[in-house]
Amino acid sequence: MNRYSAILILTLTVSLSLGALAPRCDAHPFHASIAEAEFNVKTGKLEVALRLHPVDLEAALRDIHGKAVDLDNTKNIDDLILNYLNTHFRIAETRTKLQKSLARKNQTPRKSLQLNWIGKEITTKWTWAYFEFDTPANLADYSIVNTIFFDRLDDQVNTINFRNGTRRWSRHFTIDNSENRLAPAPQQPKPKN
Amino acid sequence: MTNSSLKPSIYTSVTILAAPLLATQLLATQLLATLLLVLLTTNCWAQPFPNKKYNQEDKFRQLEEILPTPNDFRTGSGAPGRGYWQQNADYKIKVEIDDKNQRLIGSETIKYTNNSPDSLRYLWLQLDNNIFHPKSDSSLTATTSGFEDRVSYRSLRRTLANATFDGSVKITSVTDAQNKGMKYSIVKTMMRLDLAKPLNKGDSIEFSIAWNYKINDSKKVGARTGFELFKKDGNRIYEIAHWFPRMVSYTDVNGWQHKQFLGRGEFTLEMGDYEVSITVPNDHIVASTGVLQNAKQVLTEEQQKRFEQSRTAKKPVFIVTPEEAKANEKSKPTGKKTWNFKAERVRDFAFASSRKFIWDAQGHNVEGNQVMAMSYYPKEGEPLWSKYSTHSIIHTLDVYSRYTFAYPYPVAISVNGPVYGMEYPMICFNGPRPEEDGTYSKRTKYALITVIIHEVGHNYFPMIVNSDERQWTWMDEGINTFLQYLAEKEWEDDYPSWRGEPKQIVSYMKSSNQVPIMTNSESILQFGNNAYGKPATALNILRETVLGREQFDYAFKEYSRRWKFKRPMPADFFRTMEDASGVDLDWFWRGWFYTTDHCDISIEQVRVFTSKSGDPKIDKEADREKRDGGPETLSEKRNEPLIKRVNRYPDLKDFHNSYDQLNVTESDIKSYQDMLKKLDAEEKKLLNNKKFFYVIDLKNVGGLVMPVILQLNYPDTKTEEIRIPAEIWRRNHESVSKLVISDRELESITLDPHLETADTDVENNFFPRRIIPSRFQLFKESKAGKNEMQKEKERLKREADVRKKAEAEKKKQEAEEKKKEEEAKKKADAKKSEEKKTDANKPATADK
Repeated sequence: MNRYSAILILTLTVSLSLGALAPRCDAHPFHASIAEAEFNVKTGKLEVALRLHPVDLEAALRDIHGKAVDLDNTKNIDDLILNYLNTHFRIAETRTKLQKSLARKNQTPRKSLQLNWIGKEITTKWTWAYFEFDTPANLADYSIVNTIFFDRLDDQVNTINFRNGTRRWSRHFTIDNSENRLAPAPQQPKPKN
Repeated sequence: MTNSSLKPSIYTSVTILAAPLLATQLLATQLLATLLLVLLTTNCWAQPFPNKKYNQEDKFRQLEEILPTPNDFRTGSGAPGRGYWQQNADYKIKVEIDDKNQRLIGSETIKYTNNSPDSLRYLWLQLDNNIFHPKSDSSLTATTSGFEDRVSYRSLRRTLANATFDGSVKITSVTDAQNKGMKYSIVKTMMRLDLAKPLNKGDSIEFSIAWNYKINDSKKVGARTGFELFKKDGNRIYEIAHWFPRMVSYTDVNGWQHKQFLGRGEFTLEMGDYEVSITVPNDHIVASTGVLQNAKQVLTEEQQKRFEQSRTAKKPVFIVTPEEAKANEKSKPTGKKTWNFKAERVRDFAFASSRKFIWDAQGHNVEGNQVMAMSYYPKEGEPLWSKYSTHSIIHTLDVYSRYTFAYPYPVAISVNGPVYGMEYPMICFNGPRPEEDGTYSKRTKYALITVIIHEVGHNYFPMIVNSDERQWTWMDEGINTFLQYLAEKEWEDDYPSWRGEPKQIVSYMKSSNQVPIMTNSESILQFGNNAYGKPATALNILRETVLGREQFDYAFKEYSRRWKFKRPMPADFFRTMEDASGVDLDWFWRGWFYTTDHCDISIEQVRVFTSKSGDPKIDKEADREKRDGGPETLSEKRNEPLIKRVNRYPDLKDFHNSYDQLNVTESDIKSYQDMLKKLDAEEKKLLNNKKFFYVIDLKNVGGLVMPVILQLNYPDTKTEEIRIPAEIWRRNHESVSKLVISDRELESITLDPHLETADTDVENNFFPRRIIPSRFQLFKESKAGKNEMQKEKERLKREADVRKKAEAEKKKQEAEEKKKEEEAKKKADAKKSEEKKTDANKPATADK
């Protein structure tokens, strides 16, 4: 076999063997991502700053594209990351059971918000991805589906810290619970002492 | 019989299982501690019973009520008591790795000594490899990703492998010292051995077990152990861990700590001596816990020579060079070799074997103890591993020894294989490798150094300070991550540490769905942050902000010394740190370890007061300013030109129209003089002080009480720092006012200026308020300019240009010098030939 395919095979071998050691048994179970999501009233957008482990991101992109991905050097890296986010960080309309069954029948895809790419920052420690969505009028009707890295790491925990003015709330995503309501619970009136 | 729905399940299982009489007294206190612990973790109240007459928890309440009552085994000061005991387990093991079939076959004799005051009727052993049974608990409860439409090929392959691969332990014999069969019962990953007669205090028992199992392919079934097959050269690396039936720990706190191995909570083990014989293909190199006893039989003369050299070398020496390892990959074994190792006072034993290994070593002296630091790695680890691995090991030993105790073992090893990062006594498995073309990113380099520091560091916690990993992950992972951070800071300036700095833990601490650090391993959500990041950060804050480095380091070293080779519990750590530092830390442990409160302290308001001097001229002027000053109202302005009645009829004016209360009168001045006469010099001085009295109202929004660090900012950019201990919150932890006296007027006040307290909202730390742009905003603004990468690229280009220029200069200089030399030579030659000519032309001199 020629050298090219030999290298390819070695790459796959090494990458696959490296990839397989991901699960919960490695002594560094630090599989977590954090996102800061703020509702910008002025622009009407939901601004997200997402922090990821560069090692995990490179491995996830490599799995999809079959060859090694270097966050600093790969040419179309922005597109690769954008594609990944489009699949794994989605804000879509919540569906009732009835709606789901109707959708299955009519093959209608779930209405989801468009993710607009702003940019990224790559450092030795972290990768930050910046993107935004148009804030929907009916916030309560939407859910977030966050499945970042779940296909490789079954102990991955993704957190999104939301902020709207002074109101803050968090959403957590795990392999067992990858979808959560977008809007916070309606505020309870404070009891007067 | 562990009841996993109750949090302190270990305590309840003790009451059911442990029979001995002496233990019943302990049980009562354990039960009470259990109740209080349950109350504490399930209610919001610090004290056991909510206080209806003051609507605040007592965040400074002493922890005695929660911590177990001190006894003969563990004292109130956090040290092992005079009655402290622990069991001992010595192992003599023979094991073979069958490379053809990827099987492990072993037989062992265990000598177990009962040092407890209790009489034992049965013993428990751990069979961790039963986790690889297709129907093991961990397999049954594993979930695949919750994709709506797709399951990745990888995920599917792994699920299938888990469902079909049977790597469980096959026990082939269990016999006593007389070779008679013993009764045993396997309970998933545990095995109970029934004793013919009870084992009393001080007695030992010997028994033997033979077993075998299939070794897992790490690509298909990921774990802390397994083999990696390199398809290109057909060779494997074996990393073998938790591979022999070993004793479950029996302790004064838990009785038998046999919570099932589900893959998350790690290992709770006994100390002892090991003699292990490892049989492998005769072209393999074995890396193992312990010291090699038969080098003459398993190493070539050349290898033995190099090994001896490496003992005193100043940098790593190859015992198997990269070229030799590469050549060895093609070799086929012609038989087997047995490597004998001996290890003393260890709690576990692991090894690795491969014909691919490059092996380097360097002897290093750690406070009088000669340690062999060694690395084993395939060529796929080059050039990264030969450059950094052994160095990282030695660095870790140096730094950790300074903070705890001198590394006591003879050997410290780092092996590259399929396992990303896992620790065992004297040996650890680390995964990072460069790309196939030998290049590696900065990230991979630091990932390697970080994981080696972390895994080698584990020798100290929990291998030597032998905490209960199955119950309290943070006692080894959290403490080790903290020391790892300190070691990283000493590797180079600006080492990119992932954890340690308070501001890095802020996102986690303000998120919801958290559990406290003091939660059993299996129940933790956000495991990495909870057991690694938060405790490491807490210790860092304790060191830098609460105790200071001197006191912290002293107390921490005392903890390490007290529990070296012993088994500490969280209470022992909390108590020792207070005992040795002299500072009450109960509020700190309570807030950071027992709750999920986060720090968010706000400067709500700042009011300034100045004192009135009493001098009527000054005071009345000030009052006039207050009364008549300020902007003119619109009405006042418009009313001014209106003609007023009293101006048309001046008789309407009287005394009151011309008398101004704020005019200074003679009697005012006289009263002032009289008052002054009554004052003494000191009082006069006090009266005339020109100081500014600032009353700062602070609010504790997050709940976690922390020290208050205020920075006073003056208009001339000078600053002053005031550090107030957390006790300021002890009577009211919701809001407190602090008086600050300043000679000059302040421009602003900043809270926690150096980001020491992991304050989750920095906006309310400024008075007057500053708008802190979100990270998103900052990025958007910076995108207008060049981004980091472009800047970096340009910088590198500039440097490269500078270098090129310097090289060109150098070359130019060299060329010039050469030219000069040549010219000089030419001249000399020309001269010589001239002389020759003249000589030739000279008439021959006649000899005298």
